[in-house]
Amino acid sequence: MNKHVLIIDDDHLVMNVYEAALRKRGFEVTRFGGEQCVDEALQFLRERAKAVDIIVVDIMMPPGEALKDQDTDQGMKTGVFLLKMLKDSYPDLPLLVLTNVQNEETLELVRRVAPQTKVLRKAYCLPFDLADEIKSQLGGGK
Amino acid sequence: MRFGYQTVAWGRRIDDLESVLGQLAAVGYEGIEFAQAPSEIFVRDESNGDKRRPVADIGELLRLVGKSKLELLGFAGGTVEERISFCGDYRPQYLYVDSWQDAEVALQKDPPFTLAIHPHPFMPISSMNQIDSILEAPENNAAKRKDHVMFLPDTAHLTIVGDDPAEAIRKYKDRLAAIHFKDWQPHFGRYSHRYARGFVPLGEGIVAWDPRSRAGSREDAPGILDTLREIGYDGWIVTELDSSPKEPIECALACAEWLAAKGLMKTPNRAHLKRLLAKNWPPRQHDVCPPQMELRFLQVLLQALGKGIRAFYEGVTEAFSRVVPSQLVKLWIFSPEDSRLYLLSAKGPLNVPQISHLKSTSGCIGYVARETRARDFNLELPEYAEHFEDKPVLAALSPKRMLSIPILNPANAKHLRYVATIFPEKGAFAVDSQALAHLGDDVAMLADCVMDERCAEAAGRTSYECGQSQSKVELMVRLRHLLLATFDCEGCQIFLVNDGRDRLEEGCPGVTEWTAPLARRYYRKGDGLTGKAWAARDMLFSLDARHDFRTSSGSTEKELSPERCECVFAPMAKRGGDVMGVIRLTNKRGRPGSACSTMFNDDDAAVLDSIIQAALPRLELLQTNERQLKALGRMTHEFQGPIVAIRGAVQLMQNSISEHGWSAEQLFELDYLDDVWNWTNLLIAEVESADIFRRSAQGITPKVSKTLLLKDVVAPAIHQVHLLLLERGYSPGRIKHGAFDEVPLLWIDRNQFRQVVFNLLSNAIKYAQDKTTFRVDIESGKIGADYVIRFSDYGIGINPELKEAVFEPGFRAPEAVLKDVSGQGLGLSVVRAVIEAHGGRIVLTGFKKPTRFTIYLPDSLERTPPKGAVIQPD
Repeated sequence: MNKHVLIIDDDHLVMNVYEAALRKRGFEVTRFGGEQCVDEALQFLRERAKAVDIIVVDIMMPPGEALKDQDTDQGMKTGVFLLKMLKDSYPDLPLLVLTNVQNEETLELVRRVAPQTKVLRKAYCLPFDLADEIKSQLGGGK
Repeated sequence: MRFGYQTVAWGRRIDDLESVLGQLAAVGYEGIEFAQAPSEIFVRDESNGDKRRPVADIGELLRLVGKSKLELLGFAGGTVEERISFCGDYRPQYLYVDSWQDAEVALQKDPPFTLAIHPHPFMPISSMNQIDSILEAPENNAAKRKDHVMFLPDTAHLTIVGDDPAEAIRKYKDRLAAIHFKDWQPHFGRYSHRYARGFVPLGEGIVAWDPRSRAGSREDAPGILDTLREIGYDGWIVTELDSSPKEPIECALACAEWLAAKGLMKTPNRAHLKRLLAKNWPPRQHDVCPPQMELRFLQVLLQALGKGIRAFYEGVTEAFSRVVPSQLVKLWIFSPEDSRLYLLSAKGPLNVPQISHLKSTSGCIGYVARETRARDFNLELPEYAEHFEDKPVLAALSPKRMLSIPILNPANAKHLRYVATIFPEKGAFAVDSQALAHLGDDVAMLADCVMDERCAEAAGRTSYECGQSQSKVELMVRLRHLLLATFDCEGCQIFLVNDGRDRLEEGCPGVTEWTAPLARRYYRKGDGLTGKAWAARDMLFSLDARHDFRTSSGSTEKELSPERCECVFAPMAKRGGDVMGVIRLTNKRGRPGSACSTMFNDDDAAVLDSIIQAALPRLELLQTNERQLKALGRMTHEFQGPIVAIRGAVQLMQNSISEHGWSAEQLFELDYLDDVWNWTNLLIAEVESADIFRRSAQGITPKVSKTLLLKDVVAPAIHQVHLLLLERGYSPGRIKHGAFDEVPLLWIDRNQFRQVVFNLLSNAIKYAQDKTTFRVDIESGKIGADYVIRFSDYGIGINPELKEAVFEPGFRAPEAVLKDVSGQGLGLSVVRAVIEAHGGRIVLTGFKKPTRFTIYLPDSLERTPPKGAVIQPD
């Protein structure tokens, strides 16, 4: 059975090619990328968390209803709070951060809430690189 | 409309009434309102050799005013009783009153005077609410009294308290006694020595003469001039200018010329006025002070000049004690905010506990503020002690009577700046108080000079210090040190308004950022100072044990008053501009052994204002730079998405080709994919460079990992410039590099160093002369405790005089501009920032053929990451 990757990232243009590459490498992909991506992804996880093998999260996203009261700095740090929620609710699910954020303060927060989670920079992690990374995280090797 | 002039600019006393009347008539005024008490209006006494004497009575005054074809409008100076008594049975156009108690006295006369209720900031009647409550009170609104209780609006005074003068004029269009035309420029240190409450020539302030846009409305708010035309006003306009370094008639002329420019008055004939002045200019009268006494006084005072403000204060008490042998002489500064005097200096046989006591002494001046002539207090000690809080000192000295000498602002007769109090050894009656008042005028003029010098020096030092600052944080740190040193105080905090765009980085002690709404919420509980005053950006307010700071929601703000201490708050606002922050100074230290007060005073406010005004332009500039850097940051981030998408698409297509084995023709076309890939390489490098430049302003944090210079840095960078080389027809083989055998694995940020090499190579390519001479050599080695990387190219070269300038952000060599070489001038600044963030340095060691950049990296990078770096997992 194909491994199932859940992508939470509002950057459609970029994530189209990542999704295509992941599918080519045989992953099943579910992607949430609209204004409500955080809420929709959390809803999806509440219903089907067991079907998901790994979650790929961006940092800059609209906070949605779930995080609207958090200090996300107008969405600049949404991923930090989302990671914390995912860590708390689904401690066994592997996570990957794929982002272009370079703000050291934000990245430090990410390291603090999810110390074991790998942070990949989009500029240097091309679609098939992501596929390779996911495969290695899920124990499949490259 | 008819135009009159109020004589406030002539000061406390008019020396030669006929001359003043002649001058005002020559300018084109038709009426006069006296700002002086009737007893201070002097005329030439022809029967006594043209010596001056006070005007005899209302009859003589009316005769002289009429002779100049002027009309007497009213009196504003002296007590209301004095004015009423002087008028006798005569009723002027109106009687100026600014308190209800005064008004009642005038209304009880038969026939009653026509009152002109005049709002005055910091007086009992200051705002339109209070005017409304008086004019609309049933008894004053009744037909019988209505014509006697009129309104005398002042355009500047109403603006100061946040009311709209045009609206006020429209509201009481049928009850206007006259209108005072005055302009005002918000200015911190409103009572500072020169600006005299910020009143400026007409048209130079913020009074809304013309229509202006109204917040939240598409329609403009009407201006004062249009409103007057609309209501068909045909009464008196009285202009005035409280303060000006010019001669008083120059003030009157400046007002008249502005009115003429607005088409309201006839253009004054300057030439005629000049002729008149040459003929009639009255010499200043100095016959009230014996010359020997004044000489003795000035000799002492002049010795104190140029030694700072404290020496000047001490010089004043010393000078007075020389001319009047006294048990004790004290100099106080008047605080208009709370109508109290604060001690500046004391001269007398004081012991240490007495000095210490005097430092925290303040005095109540009560009637002195209104009664501005030198006078004998004639108080018994217990009564005196009610006014001045230095009872233990006085008990020890057993003084007889005290003389008080008001020292007024030379530019504004109503503005009390200092008071000298003297306890003459032989009692007060033996001293000529008029002579002392004259000496007070000398002090005032010299104090002006001292303060001018002090303000100019503070502004100069601030401009220099702030001009050195390259970031907002650095500016704040420098400003804070400067303030601590200038005022010799224990604490200084700077609160900057955070408008959501400019955040200060952490690590700037003493600087706190507020959100703008929070900053605007502050107001002082109690007398006079409200949120409105904040909005008017005009305040000096102090905090001590008697005052609480509260937010408008009622909660005490701990940040603002963490402890009860003597402090001063000053808004950082350009004159008439937005509040950019607030400065708080706490606990001024006194000089050991000196009795000088440790309270912040009006003179401090003037200096503080000079510092703020000198610092703000730099702050604005840096904030603008920060905004630009933020915009650059957003832009680089926006660029990254599409680049990643393009590269992702290229990768997908290449993958398809390799999987499906396309035809040779298709493969040939798809060679272009390689070009697309290489172009994105260049784009990434440019975006990275811009991003590093942006971050370099706040300090770069290298993300380091163990890196091999050749494999991880140099080789990928050469690959990145591949397309640039092809574009210009240069052979990639002409970039030569050594084996880098001497350089081991180093703790460096490989992305940032790749950027360094890319920038140096792309410069060499851009500035190469032609493809035959193009060549770059990259060598490595070890010199002492440094690993060295050397880049040599054989391009157009660099002028040796520019060896430092080339590393400045935005610098572009003249040759580059002539050659039309593209670029923003960021490349080398980025190179230097990255290398310095790693503890290294870059030096231009050759200027032409080869142009040589040498990078020195400390060999400690072999063992430990650079300071402040983040270790990046491989």
